[in-house]
Amino acid sequence: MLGNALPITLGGIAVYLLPQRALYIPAHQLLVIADWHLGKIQHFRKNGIFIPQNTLANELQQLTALTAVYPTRHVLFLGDLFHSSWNPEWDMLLTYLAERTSLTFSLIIGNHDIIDFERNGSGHLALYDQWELDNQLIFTHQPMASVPEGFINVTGHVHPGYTIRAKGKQRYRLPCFYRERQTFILPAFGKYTGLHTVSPSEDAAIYLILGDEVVHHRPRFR
Amino acid sequence: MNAFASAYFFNKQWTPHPFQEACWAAMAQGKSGLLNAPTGYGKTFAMWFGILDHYYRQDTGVGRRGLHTLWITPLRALSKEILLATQDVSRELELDYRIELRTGDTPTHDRQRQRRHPPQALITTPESVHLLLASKGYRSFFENLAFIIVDEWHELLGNKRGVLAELAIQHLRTIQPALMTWGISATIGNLAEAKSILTRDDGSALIRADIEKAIRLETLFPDELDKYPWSGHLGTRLAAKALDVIHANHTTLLFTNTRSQAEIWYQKLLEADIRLAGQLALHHGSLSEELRLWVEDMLRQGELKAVVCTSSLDLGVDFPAVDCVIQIGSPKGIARFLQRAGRSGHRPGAVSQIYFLPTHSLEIMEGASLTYAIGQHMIEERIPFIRSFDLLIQFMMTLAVSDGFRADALFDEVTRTHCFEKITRDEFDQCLLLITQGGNTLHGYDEFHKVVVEEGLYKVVSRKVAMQHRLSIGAIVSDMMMRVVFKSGKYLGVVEEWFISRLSVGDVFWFGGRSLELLYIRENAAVVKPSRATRAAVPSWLGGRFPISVDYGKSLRHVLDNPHSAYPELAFLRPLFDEQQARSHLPRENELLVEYNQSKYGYHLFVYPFEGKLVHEGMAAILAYRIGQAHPHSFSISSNDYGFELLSAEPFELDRQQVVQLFDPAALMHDINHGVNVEEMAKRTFRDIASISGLMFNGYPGKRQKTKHLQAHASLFFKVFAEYEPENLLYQQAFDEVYDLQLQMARMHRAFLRMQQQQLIYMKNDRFSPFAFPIFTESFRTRYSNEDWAKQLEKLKKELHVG
Repeated sequence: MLGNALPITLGGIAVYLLPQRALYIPAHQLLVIADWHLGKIQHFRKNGIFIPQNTLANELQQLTALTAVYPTRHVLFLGDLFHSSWNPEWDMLLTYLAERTSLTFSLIIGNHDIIDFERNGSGHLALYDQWELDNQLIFTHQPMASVPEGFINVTGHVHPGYTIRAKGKQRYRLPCFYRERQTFILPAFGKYTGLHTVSPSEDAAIYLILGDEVVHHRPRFR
Repeated sequence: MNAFASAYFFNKQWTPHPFQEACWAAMAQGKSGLLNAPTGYGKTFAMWFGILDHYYRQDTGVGRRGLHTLWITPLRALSKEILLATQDVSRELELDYRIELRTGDTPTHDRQRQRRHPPQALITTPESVHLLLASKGYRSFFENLAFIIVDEWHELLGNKRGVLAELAIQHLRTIQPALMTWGISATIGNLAEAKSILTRDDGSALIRADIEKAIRLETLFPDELDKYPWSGHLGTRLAAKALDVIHANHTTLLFTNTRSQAEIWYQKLLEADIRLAGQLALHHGSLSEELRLWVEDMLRQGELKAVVCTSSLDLGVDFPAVDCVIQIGSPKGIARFLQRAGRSGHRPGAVSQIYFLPTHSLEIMEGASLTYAIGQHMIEERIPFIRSFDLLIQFMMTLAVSDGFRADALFDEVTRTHCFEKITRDEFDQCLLLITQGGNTLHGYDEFHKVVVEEGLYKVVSRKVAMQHRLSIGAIVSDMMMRVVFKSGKYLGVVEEWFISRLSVGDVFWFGGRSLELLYIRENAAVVKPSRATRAAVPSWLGGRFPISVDYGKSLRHVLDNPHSAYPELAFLRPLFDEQQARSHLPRENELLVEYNQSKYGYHLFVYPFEGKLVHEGMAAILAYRIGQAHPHSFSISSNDYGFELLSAEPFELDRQQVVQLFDPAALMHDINHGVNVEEMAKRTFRDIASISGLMFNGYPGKRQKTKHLQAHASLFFKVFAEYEPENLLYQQAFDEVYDLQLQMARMHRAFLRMQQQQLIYMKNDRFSPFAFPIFTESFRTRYSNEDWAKQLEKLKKELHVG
């Protein structure tokens, strides 16, 4: 039913790592998405940077497709949802969210969410600095400096990627989910984002996104 | 006869060279031209007295008002020397001809004063001229300009700074049509073309000094020959030989190809001979200007025994004390080698003494090929850039932020330059569309802000846009650099950000010849303190990946064809050549050697075209594609200037006929385009294009954080273009630059034609041959695959699940 999603547990909670670069928690029908960076290209253009326009509709279609496959009640954005001050795409996004009447939406405000919510409105988005689930998971945009005892910090911001070496001296740089002690970092959901290559410590786990599959990878240490 | 020259030369008791008199005569006739002369023989005066003569022939009053001469140099260090020489003339002859500098270092109040009271001559750089064109009311500043002199034109010609010069000069001609343009160039293979690009005038003069400098070249040999050489291995083992040379001469310059090599050699020489402490210095582009100027000053005074340097000392002022040069590793070009040799024995008539110090045994033969090439007067051409749309867009912005421009007039103007001679009006209009509307717009709600058109005049109204543009003018894009400073704030130089990011606090690295401990990182600075540690990381500044030239490769293949000839280098390499012959085969000039063998790393195919690293990378991709037509494969590719290697995890044994077909010159373009790597290479090239055209703004100096939300990786922009606007000129330019500069398609095509004429020697060996070994051990590898991405991922998954 869950396709190539990889089941793991975070704290005591069963979650699925989706190759579409999102996290799904079936018990709560919760979809978690980090670092979408919508509105970014419009933002650049407004500042005289002449990159071609993309279409917001294409971007939003990705979320529509995901919620069609995974039964979802609640979508939690882990920050950097909208990478711009107000531009018309913000209103289009709010309209899209409002039309999805069966879903609730929450946003943990990220450093690129520079929009003025007071003035421009946040529609159906509930805004948070952080958000907790079942006394086990604590969701933030940036990794917490110290995670409270007994919690796992689920977070974004980093855009983790990993360089993997294979036979014949081949190298691949791929997006990944990254876990180190109490911190669990999601890959960026947005198409137009970069990768930050992580160098894992010995107690880290890496979940590589290999096309339509998520694979648990244990780096070897010398 | 030139009266000013007569007086000055008489005072100095000099006699003019014929080439100087020829220049003065041509300039008196109002001609433009190109002077081909080596440094140190009075080329500055060959121009200067022509300029003075012109100035004082004009009427007092109208003619002698405002700026008269613009002297453009590629290097700030040179501008100082020219300033001193020309000022001396004005002083000696008591002339009111005033000369000033204008570079990136000129303080704001001096610039403002220069605008109000222009001197007669400004010595400047191409970038500074563009900055002048970006300031309001520039036309009146240039309205009496009579001369543009471009010094070291050969240095600018082969890169995008040459295009900056072309655009600026053509624009100044629209203000002052009678402008005379003169270039000064060292000998290159295409002098006539160099003249035509600069002067745009068939009647302009080409004057050659015809002074040939005597060069003595000697190769430094190791005591023993290593038959399985790997790159860099030999290098510092020859430090003792280099020391002998240093002690036998007054002052020696040691040229390396990379900054990291310079750091390592500086350290090794000091370790080997502590007496050199205080008499040995280091000079490269990442060190602070203060430090570099100090070294140059000490060199001029003859206070140093030796300096380890990079191309940072290729050009620039003369150091009479330097009587010897050592080239460490392959110089990769004949002209570059001659230029470096010329840094010693700078006085007229003196002999230039240069030693070649190879970094691996096979490289020893380059000593022989250099001797051959110099004897044959082989010299490279400098290939000019064409269709650099990134610079056209930058130039449009430059004019838009000052007084604005009109489309028809600007089109007419730029199509008179060599670079944009062949562009169409449609292409020009596409560039206009980018800066006015941000390209073809899809949505009505788009708000694009850059250039506005008011009654046909294109101009910038936003002060912010204007400011950002002025900070972005130029054609050199550097990596993200981090300043290296002491706690006191003392500035040591810059190093690539990615290098520092790999270090942790407390780590030690070598920089500027000393070992430094990283204390912490503050804003854009790595704060360090001196360390006593003797083992430390050396920053491996990128670069130094330029390949050997066409002529260099030709002379290499030639000496290999005559292994029994009298060159001492070849005699020394005899055992290695014998080993190559025994293990595999020693290729003659009319033979192409291909080797196949298996090792624990996989299956290797080696090919030796001697065409330079870049062509080899492209050839390797073409071969990989062709092999993959039968069976999809993934390869890792390694190459050096002599040959390349395809390595696969799976066997790909070919028969002789199949190998012959790999080298078919037909359908090269098709096969390159069907390889996956062109786009990957274009993505890397696009970074510079994005930066030059103003797509990426690198921030205000000292205020980087403010613009962080507008910064993005060039690869992101590339992705967006690929998806939504692949026909965009800048996106296409990235591919053109890959074909022309990185894959060097023209050169590759000639190489395939040549290889087809050669006899194929296909050897299946049981181990690496001496030729193969250095290629295999190259640390830098590229990846190539003609399997689709999904298939590669499948394989990787299997490996990961097993591992």
